[in-house]
Amino acid sequence: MKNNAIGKEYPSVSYEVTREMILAYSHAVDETSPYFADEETEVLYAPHTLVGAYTLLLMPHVVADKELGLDTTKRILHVHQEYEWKRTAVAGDVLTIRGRIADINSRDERKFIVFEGDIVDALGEQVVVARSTLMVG
Amino acid sequence: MVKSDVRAGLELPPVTHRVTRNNIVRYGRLVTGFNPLHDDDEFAQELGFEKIVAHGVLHLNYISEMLCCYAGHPNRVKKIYIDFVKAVYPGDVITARGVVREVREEGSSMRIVIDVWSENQDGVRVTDGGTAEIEAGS
Repeated sequence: MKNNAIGKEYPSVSYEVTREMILAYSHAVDETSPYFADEETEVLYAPHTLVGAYTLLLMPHVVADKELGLDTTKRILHVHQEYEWKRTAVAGDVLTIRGRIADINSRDERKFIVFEGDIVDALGEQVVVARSTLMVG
Repeated sequence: MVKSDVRAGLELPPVTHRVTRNNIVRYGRLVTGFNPLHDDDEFAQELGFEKIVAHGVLHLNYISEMLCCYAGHPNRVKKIYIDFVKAVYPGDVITARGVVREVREEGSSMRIVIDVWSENQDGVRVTDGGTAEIEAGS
């Protein structure tokens, strides 16, 4: 994996946070609060980890990046996560993920790669910043 | 809910869930999966794990659930930084925990800094070293 990929940005990805997506996510993580799981509520909030989890929509770009050289047949572990929320996403939000490689470093013959997703709403206002550290090897 | 006498050392009501294979499969269908560690037992065993491993973010939501219950509204949960330190397997019972580290006044509201982690049915921490922040008051 190439250290000179630090700072590299990937094409942004947009998607709509739908009620169905939120309800299915809440079901998968056993979230039962009415904020996140009430089908009848007017404003349905996305569970806090949902928007960060969907930064995985960037992964096809990352995996296809030959310059980065991430080998997905190897052991890849998610070892650290950071979220900073400006607000919680709600059903109907159209979000855009701007993803980049924030850092790559090595410790004990293992590589650590930090992906940063800056997630903004349709007005361009920041919703959350998500940073995921993957350990490779 | 946050009480006015919140102070360092206060323990948040914990949140406990059993992670089933069904949870992991359902979760994997929602997010774009690229890592067979979450759906292929043989692959997981080749890497030295007992069986498939739950997505870290799946059980990280137990911590955000705990924070949101305590804060009283989703928009009051502002930050989580945390390490995933041990594999979570289907059948594990995970408890999210938090202890208030610091309470800061910020204008008319309060910023509450909380040490967070989660542990399995044997009391072994599966996430650790976590810092969370919630907003209260105003």
